[in-house]
Amino acid sequence: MSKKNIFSVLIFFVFIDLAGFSQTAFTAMKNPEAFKTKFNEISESTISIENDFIQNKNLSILAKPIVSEGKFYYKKENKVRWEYSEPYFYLIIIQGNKLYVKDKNNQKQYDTQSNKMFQELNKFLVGCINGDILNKTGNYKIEFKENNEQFYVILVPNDPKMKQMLNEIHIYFDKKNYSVVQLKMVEQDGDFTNIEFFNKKINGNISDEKFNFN
Amino acid sequence: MKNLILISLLVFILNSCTLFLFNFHNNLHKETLPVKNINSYFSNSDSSYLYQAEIWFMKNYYSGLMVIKPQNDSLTRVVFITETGIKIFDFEIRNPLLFKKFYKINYIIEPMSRRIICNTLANDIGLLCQNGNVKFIDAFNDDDKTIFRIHNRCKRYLYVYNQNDYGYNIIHVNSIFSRKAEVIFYGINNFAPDSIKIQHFGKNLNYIFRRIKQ
Repeated sequence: MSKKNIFSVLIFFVFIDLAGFSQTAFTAMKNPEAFKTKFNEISESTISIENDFIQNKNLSILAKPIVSEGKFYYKKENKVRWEYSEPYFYLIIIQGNKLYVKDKNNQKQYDTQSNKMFQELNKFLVGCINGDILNKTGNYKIEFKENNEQFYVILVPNDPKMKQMLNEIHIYFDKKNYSVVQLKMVEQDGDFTNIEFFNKKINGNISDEKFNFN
Repeated sequence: MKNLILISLLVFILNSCTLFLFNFHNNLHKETLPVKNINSYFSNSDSSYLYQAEIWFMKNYYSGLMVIKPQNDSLTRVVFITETGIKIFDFEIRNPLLFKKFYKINYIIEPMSRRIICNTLANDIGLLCQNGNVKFIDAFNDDDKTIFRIHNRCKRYLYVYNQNDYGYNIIHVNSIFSRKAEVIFYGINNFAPDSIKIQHFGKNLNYIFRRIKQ
Protein backbone atom coordinates (compact mmCIF):
# COMPACT_ATOMS: atom_id res chain seq x y z
CA MET A 1 0.00 0.00 0.00
CA SER A 2 1.41 3.38 -1.01
CA LYS A 3 1.94 6.20 1.49
CA LYS A 4 -0.90 8.10 -0.18
CA ASN A 5 -3.32 5.17 0.31
CA ILE A 6 -2.29 4.71 3.95
CA PHE A 7 -2.89 8.43 4.52
CA SER A 8 -6.34 8.19 2.87
CA VAL A 9 -7.29 5.24 5.04
CA LEU A 10 -6.12 7.08 8.18
CA ILE A 11 -8.09 10.19 7.22
CA PHE A 12 -11.17 7.99 6.60
CA PHE A 13 -10.97 6.41 10.09
CA VAL A 14 -10.38 9.80 11.73
CA PHE A 15 -13.56 11.10 10.05
CA ILE A 16 -15.51 7.97 11.06
CA ASP A 17 -14.34 8.48 14.65
CA LEU A 18 -15.20 12.15 14.61
CA ALA A 19 -18.63 11.42 13.15
CA GLY A 20 -19.26 8.79 15.83
CA PHE A 21 -18.01 11.10 18.54
CA SER A 22 -20.17 13.99 17.39
CA GLN A 23 -23.27 11.74 17.52
CA THR A 24 -22.76 10.50 21.02
CA ALA A 25 -20.98 13.22 23.02
CA PHE A 26 -23.45 15.40 24.87
CA THR A 27 -22.55 18.79 26.27
CA ALA A 28 -24.53 21.20 28.43
CA MET A 29 -27.47 22.68 26.51
CA LYS A 30 -26.73 26.22 25.38
CA ASN A 31 -30.22 27.54 25.91
CA PRO A 32 -32.49 25.29 28.01
CA GLU A 33 -35.22 27.95 28.25
CA ALA A 34 -35.45 28.19 24.44
CA PHE A 35 -35.65 24.37 24.28
CA LYS A 36 -38.48 24.29 26.85
CA THR A 37 -40.40 27.07 25.11
CA LYS A 38 -40.08 25.42 21.69
CA PHE A 39 -40.90 22.02 23.19
CA ASN A 40 -44.06 23.37 24.84
CA GLU A 41 -45.11 24.99 21.56
CA ILE A 42 -44.65 21.73 19.67
CA SER A 43 -46.42 19.75 22.43
CA GLU A 44 -49.38 22.13 22.13
CA SER A 45 -49.66 21.41 18.42
CA THR A 46 -49.11 17.64 18.80
CA ILE A 47 -52.47 15.92 18.63
CA SER A 48 -51.27 12.34 18.28
CA ILE A 49 -48.15 10.19 18.28
CA GLU A 50 -47.88 6.66 16.97
CA ASN A 51 -44.70 4.60 17.00
CA ASP A 52 -43.10 1.21 17.50
CA PHE A 53 -40.94 0.58 20.51
CA ILE A 54 -38.35 -1.84 21.83
CA GLN A 55 -38.00 -2.08 25.57
CA ASN A 56 -34.92 -3.56 27.24
CA LYS A 57 -35.04 -4.40 30.93
CA ASN A 58 -31.51 -4.69 32.25
CA LEU A 59 -31.14 -6.51 35.57
CA SER A 60 -27.72 -6.97 37.17
CA ILE A 61 -28.52 -10.65 37.78
CA LEU A 62 -29.04 -11.33 34.07
CA ALA A 63 -26.36 -11.48 31.39
CA LYS A 64 -28.82 -10.33 28.70
CA PRO A 65 -31.69 -7.84 28.93
CA ILE A 66 -35.34 -8.91 28.79
CA VAL A 67 -36.57 -7.58 25.45
CA SER A 68 -40.17 -6.52 24.86
CA GLU A 69 -41.63 -5.00 21.70
CA GLY A 70 -44.82 -3.33 20.68
CA LYS A 71 -46.67 -0.27 19.49
CA PHE A 72 -47.32 2.96 21.35
CA TYR A 73 -50.18 5.40 20.68
CA TYR A 74 -50.83 8.78 22.28
CA LYS A 75 -53.77 11.06 21.56
CA LYS A 76 -54.71 14.31 23.19
CA GLU A 77 -55.84 14.64 25.96
CA ASN A 78 -54.29 11.88 28.08
CA LYS A 79 -55.12 8.89 25.91
CA VAL A 80 -52.36 6.32 25.84
CA ARG A 81 -52.17 2.79 24.43
CA TRP A 82 -49.16 0.51 25.05
CA GLU A 83 -49.60 -2.63 22.99
CA TYR A 84 -46.94 -5.26 23.70
CA SER A 85 -46.57 -8.03 21.16
CA GLU A 86 -43.37 -9.61 22.56
CA PRO A 87 -42.60 -11.61 24.67
CA TYR A 88 -46.39 -11.96 24.88
CA PHE A 89 -49.50 -9.94 24.10
CA TYR A 90 -50.23 -7.33 26.73
CA LEU A 91 -52.30 -4.19 26.41
CA ILE A 92 -52.44 -1.08 28.59
CA ILE A 93 -54.92 1.69 27.80
CA ILE A 94 -54.96 4.88 29.81
CA GLN A 95 -57.77 7.32 29.32
CA GLY A 96 -57.88 10.17 31.81
CA ASN A 97 -58.05 8.56 35.23
CA LYS A 98 -59.02 5.14 33.92
CA LEU A 99 -56.51 2.40 33.28
CA TYR A 100 -57.31 -0.81 31.46
CA VAL A 101 -55.05 -3.84 31.16
CA LYS A 102 -55.61 -6.92 29.07
CA ASP A 103 -53.58 -10.02 28.33
CA LYS A 104 -54.38 -13.35 26.72
CA ASN A 105 -56.22 -14.59 29.81
CA ASN A 106 -57.52 -11.59 31.72
CA GLN A 107 -58.71 -8.05 31.48
CA LYS A 108 -59.11 -5.52 34.24
CA GLN A 109 -60.06 -1.89 34.60
CA TYR A 110 -58.72 0.41 37.32
CA ASP A 111 -59.56 3.87 38.47
CA THR A 112 -56.13 5.41 38.92
CA GLN A 113 -57.57 7.92 41.40
CA SER A 114 -58.34 5.09 43.81
CA ASN A 115 -54.81 3.78 43.50
CA LYS A 116 -52.12 6.35 44.20
CA MET A 117 -49.37 4.16 42.76
CA PHE A 118 -51.16 3.80 39.40
CA GLN A 119 -51.99 7.50 39.40
CA GLU A 120 -48.34 8.46 39.87
CA LEU A 121 -47.09 5.94 37.31
CA ASN A 122 -49.73 7.09 34.84
CA LYS A 123 -48.81 10.77 35.27
CA PHE A 124 -45.14 9.94 35.06
CA LEU A 125 -45.33 7.86 31.85
CA VAL A 126 -47.66 10.29 30.07
CA GLY A 127 -45.51 13.20 31.30
CA CYS A 128 -42.39 11.60 29.84
CA ILE A 129 -44.04 11.21 26.44
CA ASN A 130 -45.83 14.55 26.13
CA GLY A 131 -43.05 16.42 27.92
CA ASP A 132 -45.18 17.68 30.84
CA ILE A 133 -42.54 16.26 33.11
CA LEU A 134 -40.15 19.06 32.04
CA ASN A 135 -42.47 21.63 33.59
CA LYS A 136 -42.44 19.87 36.98
CA THR A 137 -39.37 21.72 38.13
CA GLY A 138 -40.38 21.33 41.78
CA ASN A 139 -40.54 17.53 41.50
CA TYR A 140 -37.25 16.95 39.70
CA LYS A 141 -33.74 18.33 39.50
CA ILE A 142 -33.33 18.70 35.74
CA GLU A 143 -30.13 18.75 33.71
CA PHE A 144 -30.24 19.73 30.01
CA LYS A 145 -27.74 18.47 27.42
CA GLU A 146 -27.50 18.26 23.65
CA ASN A 147 -25.46 17.04 20.72
CA ASN A 148 -25.87 17.53 16.97
CA GLU A 149 -28.90 15.31 16.67
CA GLN A 150 -30.59 15.09 20.04
CA PHE A 151 -31.60 16.97 23.13
CA TYR A 152 -30.96 14.98 26.29
CA VAL A 153 -32.63 15.67 29.63
CA ILE A 154 -31.73 13.99 32.91
CA LEU A 155 -34.30 14.16 35.71
CA VAL A 156 -33.52 13.28 39.32
CA PRO A 157 -36.66 12.99 41.49
CA ASN A 158 -36.82 15.14 44.62
CA ASP A 159 -39.58 13.07 46.24
CA PRO A 160 -37.99 10.33 48.41
CA LYS A 161 -40.76 7.84 47.52
CA MET A 162 -40.28 8.42 43.81
CA LYS A 163 -36.51 8.32 44.27
CA GLN A 164 -36.84 4.94 45.96
CA MET A 165 -38.42 3.66 42.74
CA LEU A 166 -36.39 5.57 40.16
CA ASN A 167 -33.03 7.19 40.77
CA GLU A 168 -32.78 8.96 37.41
CA ILE A 169 -34.87 9.36 34.26
CA HIS A 170 -33.07 10.03 30.97
CA ILE A 171 -35.12 11.35 28.04
CA TYR A 172 -33.71 11.82 24.54
CA PHE A 173 -35.50 14.06 22.03
CA ASP A 174 -35.05 14.25 18.27
CA LYS A 175 -33.82 17.76 17.40
CA LYS A 176 -35.81 17.74 14.15
CA ASN A 177 -39.27 17.39 15.66
CA TYR A 178 -38.69 17.47 19.46
CA SER A 179 -40.27 14.01 19.85
CA VAL A 180 -39.07 11.49 22.44
CA VAL A 181 -36.79 8.89 20.82
CA GLN A 182 -35.51 7.15 23.93
CA LEU A 183 -36.53 6.87 27.57
CA LYS A 184 -34.25 5.34 30.17
CA MET A 185 -35.41 4.77 33.74
CA VAL A 186 -32.57 3.99 36.17
CA GLU A 187 -33.35 2.40 39.53
CA GLN A 188 -31.49 2.83 42.82
CA ASP A 189 -29.47 -0.36 42.38
CA GLY A 190 -28.42 0.49 38.80
CA ASP A 191 -30.93 -1.79 37.07
CA PHE A 192 -32.64 0.10 34.26
CA THR A 193 -35.36 0.03 31.61
CA ASN A 194 -34.52 1.47 28.22
CA ILE A 195 -37.33 2.16 25.73
CA GLU A 196 -36.47 3.19 22.17
CA PHE A 197 -39.19 4.63 19.96
CA PHE A 198 -39.03 4.45 16.16
CA ASN A 199 -41.22 4.54 13.00
CA LYS A 200 -42.78 7.65 14.45
CA LYS A 201 -45.95 9.24 13.00
CA ILE A 202 -46.87 12.59 14.48
CA ASN A 203 -50.40 13.98 14.12
CA GLY A 204 -51.55 10.98 12.10
CA ASN A 205 -55.16 9.90 12.28
CA ILE A 206 -55.53 7.51 15.24
CA SER A 207 -59.04 6.18 15.70
CA ASP A 208 -60.67 6.70 19.12
CA GLU A 209 -61.46 2.98 19.06
CA LYS A 210 -57.79 2.33 19.84
CA PHE A 211 -58.48 3.69 23.33
CA ASN A 212 -61.76 1.87 23.96
CA PHE A 213 -61.92 -0.59 26.84
CA ASN A 214 -63.22 -3.72 25.20
CA MET B 1 -71.49 -28.57 80.01
CA LYS B 2 -69.26 -25.84 78.57
CA ASN B 3 -66.21 -28.08 78.96
CA LEU B 4 -68.03 -30.96 77.31
CA ILE B 5 -68.78 -28.82 74.25
CA LEU B 6 -65.16 -27.63 74.08
CA ILE B 7 -63.80 -31.17 74.41
CA SER B 8 -66.22 -32.43 71.74
CA LEU B 9 -65.17 -29.63 69.43
CA LEU B 10 -61.48 -30.38 70.00
CA VAL B 11 -62.00 -34.11 69.39
CA PHE B 12 -63.91 -33.29 66.19
CA ILE B 13 -61.15 -30.96 64.92
CA LEU B 14 -58.35 -33.41 65.74
CA ASN B 15 -60.33 -36.24 64.20
CA SER B 16 -60.94 -34.25 61.01
CA CYS B 17 -57.30 -33.32 60.85
CA THR B 18 -56.18 -36.90 61.38
CA LEU B 19 -58.56 -38.05 58.71
CA PHE B 20 -57.19 -35.50 56.27
CA LEU B 21 -53.53 -36.20 56.97
CA PHE B 22 -53.77 -39.94 56.74
CA ASN B 23 -56.50 -40.52 54.19
CA PHE B 24 -54.36 -38.76 51.64
CA HIS B 25 -51.85 -41.60 51.53
CA ASN B 26 -53.24 -44.38 53.71
CA ASN B 27 -53.11 -46.95 50.94
CA LEU B 28 -49.41 -46.35 50.24
CA HIS B 29 -46.45 -48.23 51.73
CA LYS B 30 -44.65 -46.38 54.49
CA GLU B 31 -40.87 -46.18 54.39
CA THR B 32 -38.18 -44.70 56.60
CA LEU B 33 -35.66 -42.64 54.69
CA PRO B 34 -32.44 -40.86 55.65
CA VAL B 35 -31.86 -37.12 55.30
CA LYS B 36 -31.94 -36.19 51.62
CA ASN B 37 -31.68 -33.11 49.42
CA ILE B 38 -34.85 -31.72 47.96
CA ASN B 39 -33.65 -29.51 45.16
CA SER B 40 -35.73 -26.80 43.62
CA TYR B 41 -36.25 -26.83 39.86
CA PHE B 42 -34.41 -23.52 39.90
CA SER B 43 -31.04 -24.63 41.20
CA ASN B 44 -28.71 -24.32 38.21
CA SER B 45 -26.74 -21.11 38.80
CA ASP B 46 -25.66 -21.06 35.14
CA SER B 47 -29.29 -20.57 34.08
CA SER B 48 -31.93 -17.93 34.59
CA TYR B 49 -35.65 -18.57 34.38
CA LEU B 50 -38.23 -16.15 33.02
CA TYR B 51 -41.96 -16.51 33.72
CA GLN B 52 -45.05 -14.53 32.91
CA ALA B 53 -46.61 -14.09 36.34
CA GLU B 54 -50.20 -13.48 37.34
CA ILE B 55 -51.11 -12.82 40.96
CA TRP B 56 -54.64 -12.56 42.36
CA PHE B 57 -54.65 -11.01 45.82
CA MET B 58 -58.03 -10.19 47.39
CA LYS B 59 -59.81 -8.29 44.60
CA ASN B 60 -56.58 -7.17 42.95
CA TYR B 61 -54.88 -8.64 39.93
CA TYR B 62 -51.20 -8.09 39.20
CA SER B 63 -49.29 -9.28 36.19
CA GLY B 64 -45.73 -9.02 35.02
CA LEU B 65 -42.51 -10.90 34.50
CA MET B 66 -40.80 -12.95 37.16
CA VAL B 67 -37.09 -13.65 36.88
CA ILE B 68 -35.62 -16.47 38.96
CA LYS B 69 -31.83 -16.48 39.12
CA PRO B 70 -30.04 -19.00 41.35
CA GLN B 71 -26.83 -17.42 42.65
CA ASN B 72 -25.47 -20.54 44.37
CA ASP B 73 -26.78 -23.63 46.18
CA SER B 74 -28.25 -21.67 49.06
CA LEU B 75 -29.32 -18.38 47.53
CA THR B 76 -31.77 -17.49 44.73
CA ARG B 77 -32.75 -14.01 43.54
CA VAL B 78 -36.35 -13.50 42.45
CA VAL B 79 -37.31 -10.25 40.73
CA PHE B 80 -40.85 -9.31 39.73
CA ILE B 81 -41.34 -6.48 37.23
CA THR B 82 -44.40 -5.11 35.46
CA GLU B 83 -44.63 -5.37 31.68
CA THR B 84 -43.60 -1.70 31.46
CA GLY B 85 -40.41 -2.47 33.37
CA ILE B 86 -41.33 -1.06 36.79
CA LYS B 87 -39.77 -3.24 39.49
CA ILE B 88 -42.29 -4.50 42.06
CA PHE B 89 -39.99 -6.57 44.27
CA ASP B 90 -36.54 -8.09 44.42
CA PHE B 91 -36.12 -10.89 46.98
CA GLU B 92 -33.23 -13.11 47.99
CA ILE B 93 -34.50 -16.54 48.99
CA ARG B 94 -32.07 -18.42 51.22
CA ASN B 95 -31.75 -21.91 52.56
CA PRO B 96 -33.64 -21.84 55.88
CA LEU B 97 -31.25 -24.36 57.37
CA LEU B 98 -28.26 -22.07 56.82
CA PHE B 99 -29.78 -18.64 57.47
CA LYS B 100 -31.82 -17.50 60.45
CA LYS B 101 -34.05 -15.44 58.18
CA PHE B 102 -34.88 -17.31 55.01
CA TYR B 103 -35.37 -14.21 52.85
CA LYS B 104 -33.96 -10.74 52.35
CA ILE B 105 -35.77 -7.91 50.62
CA ASN B 106 -33.52 -5.96 48.27
CA TYR B 107 -36.47 -3.88 47.09
CA ILE B 108 -40.24 -3.79 47.31
CA ILE B 109 -42.46 -1.07 45.92
CA GLU B 110 -43.83 1.13 48.68
CA PRO B 111 -47.54 0.14 48.74
CA MET B 112 -46.56 -3.54 49.12
CA SER B 113 -43.87 -3.06 51.75
CA ARG B 114 -46.04 -4.17 54.68
CA ARG B 115 -44.48 -6.97 56.68
CA ILE B 116 -47.42 -9.35 56.33
CA ILE B 117 -47.37 -9.02 52.52
CA CYS B 118 -43.58 -9.47 52.37
CA ASN B 119 -43.77 -12.60 54.56
CA THR B 120 -46.56 -14.11 52.48
CA LEU B 121 -44.79 -13.42 49.18
CA ALA B 122 -41.48 -14.75 50.49
CA ASN B 123 -43.14 -17.91 51.86
CA ASP B 124 -44.83 -18.63 48.54
CA ILE B 125 -41.81 -17.89 46.38
CA GLY B 126 -39.65 -19.79 48.85
CA LEU B 127 -41.71 -22.88 48.06
CA LEU B 128 -40.45 -22.69 44.49
CA CYS B 129 -36.83 -21.79 45.11
CA GLN B 130 -35.53 -23.23 48.32
CA ASN B 131 -32.95 -25.95 48.16
CA GLY B 132 -31.64 -27.88 51.05
CA ASN B 133 -31.24 -31.09 52.82
CA VAL B 134 -34.32 -31.97 54.76
CA LYS B 135 -35.16 -34.55 57.35
CA PHE B 136 -38.17 -36.55 56.26
CA ILE B 137 -40.76 -37.38 58.81
CA ASP B 138 -41.65 -40.30 56.63
CA ALA B 139 -42.21 -41.36 53.04
CA PHE B 140 -44.87 -43.33 51.24
CA ASN B 141 -44.96 -44.92 47.84
CA ASP B 142 -46.88 -47.10 45.47
CA ASP B 143 -46.49 -47.95 41.79
CA ASP B 144 -47.51 -44.47 40.63
CA LYS B 145 -46.05 -42.03 43.11
CA THR B 146 -43.78 -41.37 46.05
CA ILE B 147 -44.64 -38.87 48.76
CA PHE B 148 -42.09 -37.33 51.10
CA ARG B 149 -43.39 -35.66 54.21
CA ILE B 150 -41.25 -33.04 55.94
CA HIS B 151 -41.77 -30.67 58.83
CA ASN B 152 -40.57 -27.10 58.82
CA ARG B 153 -41.62 -24.03 60.81
CA CYS B 154 -44.90 -25.42 62.17
CA LYS B 155 -45.96 -26.61 58.74
CA ARG B 156 -45.92 -30.00 57.07
CA TYR B 157 -44.99 -30.29 53.44
CA LEU B 158 -45.89 -33.24 51.25
CA TYR B 159 -43.74 -33.52 48.12
CA VAL B 160 -45.48 -35.75 45.59
CA TYR B 161 -43.27 -37.39 42.95
CA ASN B 162 -44.91 -39.11 40.00
CA GLN B 163 -42.72 -41.96 38.82
CA ASN B 164 -42.49 -40.64 35.27
CA ASP B 165 -41.54 -37.06 36.09
CA TYR B 166 -38.12 -35.47 36.55
CA GLY B 167 -39.03 -34.29 40.05
CA TYR B 168 -41.95 -33.57 42.34
CA ASN B 169 -45.08 -32.30 40.62
CA ILE B 170 -47.14 -31.24 43.63
CA ILE B 171 -46.31 -29.71 47.01
CA HIS B 172 -49.07 -29.79 49.62
CA VAL B 173 -48.63 -27.37 52.52
CA ASN B 174 -50.57 -28.19 55.68
CA SER B 175 -50.69 -26.75 59.15
CA ILE B 176 -51.53 -29.02 62.06
CA PHE B 177 -55.23 -28.54 61.48
CA SER B 178 -55.82 -27.68 57.87
CA ARG B 179 -54.67 -27.51 54.27
CA LYS B 180 -52.87 -24.25 53.67
CA ALA B 181 -51.71 -24.27 50.07
CA GLU B 182 -50.93 -26.39 47.06
CA VAL B 183 -48.26 -25.89 44.41
CA ILE B 184 -48.74 -27.73 41.13
CA PHE B 185 -45.99 -27.97 38.52
CA TYR B 186 -47.01 -28.59 34.90
CA GLY B 187 -44.91 -29.59 31.90
CA ILE B 188 -41.97 -30.78 33.96
CA ASN B 189 -38.83 -31.30 31.90
CA ASN B 190 -35.11 -31.33 32.51
CA PHE B 191 -34.86 -27.51 32.48
CA ALA B 192 -37.83 -26.06 34.39
CA PRO B 193 -41.60 -26.53 34.65
CA ASP B 194 -43.61 -24.95 31.83
CA SER B 195 -46.11 -23.54 34.28
CA ILE B 196 -46.72 -23.41 38.02
CA LYS B 197 -49.88 -22.77 39.97
CA ILE B 198 -49.92 -21.81 43.66
CA GLN B 199 -53.31 -21.97 45.29
CA HIS B 200 -54.08 -20.96 48.88
CA PHE B 201 -56.96 -22.43 50.86
CA GLY B 202 -58.74 -20.01 53.18
CA LYS B 203 -56.76 -17.05 51.83
CA ASN B 204 -57.69 -15.13 48.72
CA LEU B 205 -54.27 -15.41 47.10
CA ASN B 206 -53.36 -17.39 43.99
CA TYR B 207 -50.54 -17.33 41.47
CA ILE B 208 -49.97 -18.65 37.95
CA PHE B 209 -46.52 -18.62 36.34
CA ARG B 210 -45.99 -19.48 32.66
CA ARG B 211 -42.47 -19.96 31.40
CA ILE B 212 -41.28 -17.72 28.60
CA LYS B 213 -38.91 -19.68 26.39
CA GLN B 214 -35.99 -17.36 25.63
